[in-house]
Amino acid sequence: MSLFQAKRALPFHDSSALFLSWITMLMVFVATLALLGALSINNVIAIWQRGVSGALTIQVPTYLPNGEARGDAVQQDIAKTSEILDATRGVISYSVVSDDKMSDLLSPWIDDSKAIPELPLPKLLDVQINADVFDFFTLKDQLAKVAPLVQADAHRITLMHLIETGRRIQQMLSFILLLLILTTAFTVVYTSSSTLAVHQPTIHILHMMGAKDSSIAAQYASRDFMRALMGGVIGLLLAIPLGWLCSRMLMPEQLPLLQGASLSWTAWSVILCLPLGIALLAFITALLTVLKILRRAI
Amino acid sequence: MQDNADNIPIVDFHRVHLKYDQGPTVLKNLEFDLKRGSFHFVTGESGAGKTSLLSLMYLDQRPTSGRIQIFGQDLSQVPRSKIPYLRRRIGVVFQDFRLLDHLTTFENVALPLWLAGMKEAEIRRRVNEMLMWVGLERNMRAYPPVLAGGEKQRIAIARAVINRPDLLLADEPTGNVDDEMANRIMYLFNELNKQGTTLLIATHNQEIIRRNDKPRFHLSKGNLEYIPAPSQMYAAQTQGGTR
Repeated sequence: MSLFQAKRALPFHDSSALFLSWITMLMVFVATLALLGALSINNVIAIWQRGVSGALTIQVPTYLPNGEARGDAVQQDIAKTSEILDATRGVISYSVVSDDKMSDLLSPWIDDSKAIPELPLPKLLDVQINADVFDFFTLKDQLAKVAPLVQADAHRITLMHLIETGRRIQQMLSFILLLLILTTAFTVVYTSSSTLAVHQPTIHILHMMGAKDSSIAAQYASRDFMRALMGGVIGLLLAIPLGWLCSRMLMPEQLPLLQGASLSWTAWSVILCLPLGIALLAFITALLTVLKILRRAI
Repeated sequence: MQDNADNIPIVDFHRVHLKYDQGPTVLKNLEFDLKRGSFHFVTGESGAGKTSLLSLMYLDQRPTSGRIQIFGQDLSQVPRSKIPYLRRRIGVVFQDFRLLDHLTTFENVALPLWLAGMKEAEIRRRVNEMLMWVGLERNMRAYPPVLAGGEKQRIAIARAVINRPDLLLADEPTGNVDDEMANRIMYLFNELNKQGTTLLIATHNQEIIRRNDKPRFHLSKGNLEYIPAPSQMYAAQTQGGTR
């Protein structure tokens, strides 16, 4: 074993050792939960997005709410809707669903297929869209102006609101992650600066003996790496059971909308690498901080 | 490591002044050099500037004005990244020892070799040999705070000479040891000098100066006066008398 392997030339037995480990444990604990949330939401959003991309259904009611038949107004609404669809960016094609196709679609649920034409069913327009450029809410506004009774896919609106909310939560979690990374970096800068001040006499002697700034900085960086890794692993071990408990509380059987929220192996790998990532951040931050401070000396 | 030209002074001071902030000028217009393999004492009263003079040489301070060359390199032109390599060629015995209290005697002495990247087996061999020489082999696992002043001083000396420096600067190296150990230390310094190390020793110890026939620099009020070795003075007087 190397002479200085177990004991380094700098005395690292100060209270900042514990401080960095504690802070990192807390950071990784919160970061793990945030990451678990962000990655789970990402999966759910992907599933929701598949539900809203590619096709859209527009309903033209054939009867008024009071039960009165709308007659020619139905064809007029279809014509107005067609004009708007023709002018809407991202609409690839559209067609009115024929009565026969309607009957085919409904027949599995209605025993007497002969009764289907008698039902007050709306006329349906099946619209193929390019989801990348199509703006659903603009279409909805335009339809409301010229044909107020025409309805565009209510389920779709709910899903789009959910996706929007999911993305906002993701942004918030990403912001929390960024804050945690910055806090960790600032903590390392603070501990390195304060311990440098404490170790100034020792560093001076090491310099006089011919120590290079890089070798002194490497000792600080290695120290902070090990402390951050230790704190990070503990933080991760504490966060994962809590994350698992939360996922059990939001079981897909109880909340079908959250089906697909389980994480992939890739996502788990990212989470398990979190302590290592934080430790590397601590290493690089300490290295750069100490080098910067030492360069001010003679 | 040898410089190509043996005639280049190891240390060369040219019109060097040193002043601490708003305080008085500590060193005034110093102009001298140390040839390779030379051995000089530095004397002067307390506060005369002996420690400041040495600190300029081991690159702990920069002069207020003037030019210092060490191993032929102008210190004002040496990039920061090269300074550690210059310092590794200089051994320093500090007056206040400056040992690392969290390292054992063995580790303190091994420090310059470890910093220079020497292999561990060689470090062990050299440090064991050196600790035997300075009589500290029984204290190799002890930490400095539990050692006596004389023992700490011997560690400081061992650490300064362990990597056989080209230039050895010692500030009162015999201040805390008995006469017998002082003689041993001076013997060690003379042996290093014979092997080519340039020595500059700041001391108050007149007995040491008397026993070692070496020239000295005397510092007084920031000015440096060169005083030849007694044998040189005697020879000069004899030659003068003959004429």
